Amino acid sequence: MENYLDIFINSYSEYWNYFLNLIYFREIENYFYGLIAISVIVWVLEILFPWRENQSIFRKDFWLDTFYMFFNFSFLIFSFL
Amino acid sequence: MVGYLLHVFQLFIFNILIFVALSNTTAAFFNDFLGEIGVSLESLQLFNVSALPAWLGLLIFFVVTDFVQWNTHRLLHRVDFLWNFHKVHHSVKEMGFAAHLRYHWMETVVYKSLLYIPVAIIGGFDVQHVVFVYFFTISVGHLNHANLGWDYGFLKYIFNNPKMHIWHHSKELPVRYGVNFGLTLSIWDYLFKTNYIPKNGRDIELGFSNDESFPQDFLRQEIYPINLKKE
Repeated sequence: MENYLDIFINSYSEYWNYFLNLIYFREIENYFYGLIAISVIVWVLEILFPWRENQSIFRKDFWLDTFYMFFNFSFLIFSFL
Repeated sequence: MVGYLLHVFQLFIFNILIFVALSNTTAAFFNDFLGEIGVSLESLQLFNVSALPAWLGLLIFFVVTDFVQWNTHRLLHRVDFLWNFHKVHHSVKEMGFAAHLRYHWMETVVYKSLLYIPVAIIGGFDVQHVVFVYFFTISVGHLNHANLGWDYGFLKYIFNNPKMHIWHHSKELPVRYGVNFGLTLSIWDYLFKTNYIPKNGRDIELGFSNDESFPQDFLRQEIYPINLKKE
């Protein structure tokens, strides 16, 4: 009985490893670094040359939008693959 | 607390399932429809860009997808059902790079579904090239929503820019269904006369009418369109 359980669990963990090693999962990681790089560059530009000078660097909804950014970017990547 | 986390988890899984199902269904539906009327996707392709020089294929992909998305964006404003989803993006009160990707996940489904058809008709796009276009459009989109007073000189008639896009987010609009629908290119707005920059938009109020009653947190923003229907 334990044997069957092992096979069952192993097959799943093997599949999971195979899944994570798929080439597009490695690319996804790079896409996220790309998004972070673009965001930091534009954010630095905003800090150096602000249009509305009295707006905080951490403006209203900064963290909400950062969450949205990663959330929706994952959907973009999924749909693209 | 646990209940709240469970809700977030369920919502996320549910989103992905629905999302994948909807995208795949649209693609399958389109292919079945073509099969039904006796044509294959290949025969419907107007032309295949793989025969063209790489830069030209890239340019065609970029211009075609931008124009389709410009029309999709107009649809999001024009149709009340879609506008309720699009409100999340217009609830931004202060501009900043991340505001670019503040939108309801349903928008991705709408955009990608409508994009599938033209991209399928013009075949032969290289994945590596498409990624390049994606990152270019994300960079321009980030700049459009940034707290920057830029318009790139004469290029403003071709590329969307912060000075133009802030008017798209203006609370007061000259026409009911909005202005400046451009994503990466502004040229469509100039061609179809939906451009609107009456003055420097630095200090205008952003949002939409009655946005005071729009939810402030992620979860309530997600269920907002469904809750509306119940009322």
